[in-house]
Amino acid sequence: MKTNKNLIKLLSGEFPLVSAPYRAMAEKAGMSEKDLIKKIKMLKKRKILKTIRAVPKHQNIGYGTNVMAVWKVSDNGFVKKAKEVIKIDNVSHCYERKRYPGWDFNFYTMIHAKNKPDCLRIVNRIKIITKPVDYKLLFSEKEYKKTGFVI
Amino acid sequence: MIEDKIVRKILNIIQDEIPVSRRPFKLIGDNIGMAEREVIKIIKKMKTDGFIRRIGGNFDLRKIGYATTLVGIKAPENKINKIAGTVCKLKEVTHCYKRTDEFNLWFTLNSSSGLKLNKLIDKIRVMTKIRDVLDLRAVRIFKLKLNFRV
Repeated sequence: MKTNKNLIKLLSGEFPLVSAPYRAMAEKAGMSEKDLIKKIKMLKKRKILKTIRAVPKHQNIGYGTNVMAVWKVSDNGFVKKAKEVIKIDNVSHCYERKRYPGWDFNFYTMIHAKNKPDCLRIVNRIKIITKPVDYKLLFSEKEYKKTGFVI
Repeated sequence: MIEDKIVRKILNIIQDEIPVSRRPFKLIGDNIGMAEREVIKIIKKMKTDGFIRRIGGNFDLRKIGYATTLVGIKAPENKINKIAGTVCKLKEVTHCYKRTDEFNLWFTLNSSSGLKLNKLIDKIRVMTKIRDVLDLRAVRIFKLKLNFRV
C-alpha cells in the first residue's frame, strides 16, 4: 500500500519533458527505469492509474464556457439515458448523485463549449434525451481553484 | 487558439495518453513523422503558452479507498470571495467555482476515507459558518473525461 502511495505521489508531480521521462522519475525514486515502468503498468492494470496524459486548460483552447447542468430524471430508463448523454463529446462529467432534501436533482452533467449558445444547444440535446422533471443550469462565473488532488 | 495543425494534433494525442515506454515522445514523433526533440519542444511551448494545465497521472483514488464529493453552499454575495478563499486553502478542495444559482459556491472535496470526508464537511461548516451545505456524493460515475479536441 505504501508503495502505491509513493508511486501515486511521484506520478502526480509534473511529468518530466525529457527524452526518457520514466528514467528521470525512476532516478528520483531510487529505482530502475524498468522497475518503474513495470510498477506503472501494474497500477494501470489495477485501474488505480487511469492514464498519464496532458490535462488541457480548456478556457485557453476555445472552450471558455462551462455549465453544470443538474437534472431530475426518473429512475425509469435512467442508465439508458445516461449512456446516451455520455456520447456527447462536450459533456466531460456525467454522474448520478445522491438526492438531498431541498435539492432533488440526481443527474449531473458538466458541459464545456465555445460559448453560451453552444452550451445551451448541448443542454437542449440532454433535455431531449433525459426528459427531466426539472433541471437547473449553473454557469461558472468565477474559477477560484482548479488543481488535481495530491495524496 | 492554436493555429498550427501539428501542434493541435500533438495536443489531441497527449490529452488521450502519453505512452508508458522508455521514449514516449519519440513514439509520438514516429507516429506523426516528427523528431522526438521537436515533439518535446512543442509540448513545452504549449505549457508555457497556457494550453496545458498539467501533465501527469490521472488516478481513480476510489480504488484505494479514497472518497470524494461535490459540495454546494449558499454564500452571502458580499462574503463569497472570502469564503471561497478560506475553503480553497484546504488541500482536499480541488475545484472551486462561483456559479449562477442561490447555491453559488461549489467545490469538490477529496479525502482518504468516507469518514474523514464527513469530518471535513463538518469542519467546513464551522470554518464558513454556513449550515446549509449540500453534500452530493456520487452514486455512479458514467463519464469523467476532460478531453477537448482542438
